Amino acid sequence: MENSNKIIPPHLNAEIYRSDTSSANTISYLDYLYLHPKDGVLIGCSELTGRYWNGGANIYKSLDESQKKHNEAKMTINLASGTADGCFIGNASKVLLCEDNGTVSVWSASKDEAWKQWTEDVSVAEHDDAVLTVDCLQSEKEYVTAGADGNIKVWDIHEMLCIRNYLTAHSLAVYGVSVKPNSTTTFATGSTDEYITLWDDNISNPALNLAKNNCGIRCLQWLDENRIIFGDEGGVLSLIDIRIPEDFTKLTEFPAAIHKIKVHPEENKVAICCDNKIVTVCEVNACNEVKGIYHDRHMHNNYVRGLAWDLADSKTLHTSGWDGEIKTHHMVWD
Amino acid sequence: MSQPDISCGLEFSITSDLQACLTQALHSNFSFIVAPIVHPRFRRQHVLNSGKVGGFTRSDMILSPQDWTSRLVGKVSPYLNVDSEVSLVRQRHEDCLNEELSYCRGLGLPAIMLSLTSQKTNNLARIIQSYYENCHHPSLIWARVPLLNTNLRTVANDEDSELSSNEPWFWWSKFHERLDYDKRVGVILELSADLPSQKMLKRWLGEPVKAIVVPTSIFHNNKKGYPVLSRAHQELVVRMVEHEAQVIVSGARRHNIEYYVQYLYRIWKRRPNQADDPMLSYARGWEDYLQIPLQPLADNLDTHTYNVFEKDPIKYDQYQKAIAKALLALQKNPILNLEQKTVIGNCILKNEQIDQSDCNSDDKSTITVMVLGAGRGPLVRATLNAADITNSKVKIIAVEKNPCAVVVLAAQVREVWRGRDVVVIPGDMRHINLTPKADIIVSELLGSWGDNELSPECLDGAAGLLKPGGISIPCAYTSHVAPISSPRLWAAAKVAVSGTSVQKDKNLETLWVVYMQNKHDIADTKLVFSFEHPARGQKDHEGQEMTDYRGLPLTDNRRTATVSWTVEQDNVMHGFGGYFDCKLYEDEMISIVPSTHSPGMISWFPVFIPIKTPLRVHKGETITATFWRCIDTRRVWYEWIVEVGNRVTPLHNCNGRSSEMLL
Repeated sequence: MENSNKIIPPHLNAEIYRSDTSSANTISYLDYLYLHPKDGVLIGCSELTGRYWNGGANIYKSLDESQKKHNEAKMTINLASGTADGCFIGNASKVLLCEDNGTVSVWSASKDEAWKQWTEDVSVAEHDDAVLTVDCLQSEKEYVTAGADGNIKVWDIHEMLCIRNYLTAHSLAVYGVSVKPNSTTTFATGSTDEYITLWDDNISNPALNLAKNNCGIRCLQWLDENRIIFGDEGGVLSLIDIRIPEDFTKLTEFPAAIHKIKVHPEENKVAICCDNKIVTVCEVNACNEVKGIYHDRHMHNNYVRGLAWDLADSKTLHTSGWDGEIKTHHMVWD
Repeated sequence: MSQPDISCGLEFSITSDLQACLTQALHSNFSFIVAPIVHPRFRRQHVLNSGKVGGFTRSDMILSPQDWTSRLVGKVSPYLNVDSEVSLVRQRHEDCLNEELSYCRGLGLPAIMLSLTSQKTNNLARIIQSYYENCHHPSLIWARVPLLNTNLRTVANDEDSELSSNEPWFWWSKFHERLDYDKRVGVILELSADLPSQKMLKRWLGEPVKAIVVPTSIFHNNKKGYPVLSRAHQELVVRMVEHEAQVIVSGARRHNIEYYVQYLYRIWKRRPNQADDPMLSYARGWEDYLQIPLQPLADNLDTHTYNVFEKDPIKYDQYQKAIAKALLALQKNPILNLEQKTVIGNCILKNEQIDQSDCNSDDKSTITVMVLGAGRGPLVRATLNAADITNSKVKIIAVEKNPCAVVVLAAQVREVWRGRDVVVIPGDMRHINLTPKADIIVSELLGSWGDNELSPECLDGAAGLLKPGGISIPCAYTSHVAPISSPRLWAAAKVAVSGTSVQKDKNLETLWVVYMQNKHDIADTKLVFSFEHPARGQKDHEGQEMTDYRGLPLTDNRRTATVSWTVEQDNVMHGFGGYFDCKLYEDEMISIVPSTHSPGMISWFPVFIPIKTPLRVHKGETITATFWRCIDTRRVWYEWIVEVGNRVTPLHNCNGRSSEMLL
């Protein structure tokens, strides 16, 4: 580094730091990664340890572009706080972002192909704490969000109206929401309060308590129309069949809390990342047994946060992490 | 201990720009902010001595040291569950919690907020305890609980909803119990749209509620679109602030945040019936402050103490009325006087102006009133007034043992009461012998728990000064107790006189005079000991009243009383509130029993009678307490024992080992 011509008296070190706002803000924690079927990559990022806990999202045309450009400081969208989840809305030029300050916002790109500008269409700050998760009930119409306030909200995103508000749906933070396959009304949530609950947005009460775990639920996703797979704070991956609620099967155990799971869209494979650097892929058969088929602990050098199955090549998985990297994993199976 | 005012804080779920958040809050008239110490989504592995480089949160240089130590309450990460069933979670979260606590210690935060989400807090309490052990300048711990358990699941489950383990009060109470009711640990109540019953709200008033969290979601919009609270919520906020709770606004910013703080200030300013009770303004600053009871018999009071007690506007007025009634009664039915005319023995001062013949010549006979323990003379003044009002002729003999007070009395006799028949006799009322005997003796020897300043012993000793059939004002008094819950008073009593663990035991076997605020009555006040004057002697085997060598009735002032109460709501009992009431004469009463408290009377704060081990009591159980008043040749003391179900406390203050009143 070059010498500076600005001499700071050593005893004013703290004061200078306090008033210095010029320092570059990296926002290097890549929290999630989504691929759009046609041409889009959504990467949500946050700054979690620096001076400002803000965030942003980058939207690229392709993964190649994202892997080349993600180190550039310029964000496609800048947010006042970090973002834990988001999604594309319909086409690749519209996204919904969940923010740590409780805001849900919708952004869209200008039609101008050459100089794409993203602008905020609408935003509402109705969650009382960070919005942690989102899923789609009806594409381009109804989305469900849940947050650290324990509330679940169903939004009509045209007007950004909250059409169903489940206040204190859970007594603690809701980390995961997942809409049942082929349904536009039924979804499941998992929370730190250790419950997995089934909801129907036509009904104001919980439809069914599916399970009471022995520690907080971190993530969940439907495997098919009857089975939900979930990961918890204790690193245990479990499976619940909604036809036999309150009885769930422990599939396997990881050495750290399971952060996210991503079920393969076609095959009975599940990608898993924990509060560590490891990416794992398991196969779940009809008898609810698992078999590890991929394991990587070297590609990332900080926690892995985002998982996305490649849409063209079914044996490829993309991951993002708190090391600021986006990695691609190729695997083999029959 | 200052003028109560509302202090508001603003909670941030996330502080993107900590400096800006603090500035915004202070500009909007909040006094402090509540903010996470570590980003709530920043999961990490804290490995002890791993030597890993890299900060787990932002630099502390971002704020000035003063801001850290006075403006910021730190929240530990919300997902931490150190009492998880799963050992992996428990261990990892414990490491992270310790990391956050030690970071808070480094910052010197005034308070650290954590949430209680169930009754399982063994490990949490243990961690907090060791944190305090390792901390020289510790922060307060603010344990946050919802006012109402709104978990849909437990509400839906009918069988469970009645269980006390679902009550946030129980979570808190268990946690505090595990910390031995440490006074550095307080509770934060998060309000919800629905409120629990009045009974449950009242129980919270006994707990050290440091702050209430008011979510923006429970505000309604008024006609002009400003956020307002329902009447029930307003009352609750005011009540809690009166009990020194701060108010924290939290949740989504549904309005300009200034509106919330302005509204809170407004409801506090507009609060009804503020300061219409003289006791409230008199006792300001003395709330829950423990004092050792006075021993006016063994020690002489100082002039400042007299000065305070003479200021009571109600007590002497009641005495004056009682004396007036007694004078009127004696005018109608004079006491047959055997020794008509005698000379006073050792009077030091007598008003020379009085014509000796006055005594005989008048058709109105002179009524002799003795003021026993006259102090600096308020009762002498009351007697003179009563005589004027009833047009009676009185001779006042003021007996006082405190030489300093005698000086004051003598000066008044010389200067103010010239022309009145007032005589001052120095000496102990129990040992002097005077003639003529009194028609009326007036005394004010009561303590906060009635007989605890040895009024019975003094008055019995002075019985020889009263004519047979004479009147004693007061003529009867009774002590009362109610079982109470008050972690704050209990913890304060435990350390009131610091020292060894022996001293701690002594502290919890002592009566404390205290203006109790932060307490909750578990059950009603009930009667304990009664005394009447003039007292009857105890009877011997032949049914004869016994007398002592002076011919005075040989009284027995030992007492035993067993009192019991039914518990109406789960609670923790920390001791008793002690009170007295007193019949001066006929229907003139003074009382500090809460239900009959003489309005405006400020002379007595109640007593707090602790028990050594707080007892958890359940709805439907019976609390049985036995109190003894014991006497030997040189002192008087109380002993007490409490029984609930099959649990029993040890006997308190056995043989007066920890507290006694000297004769």
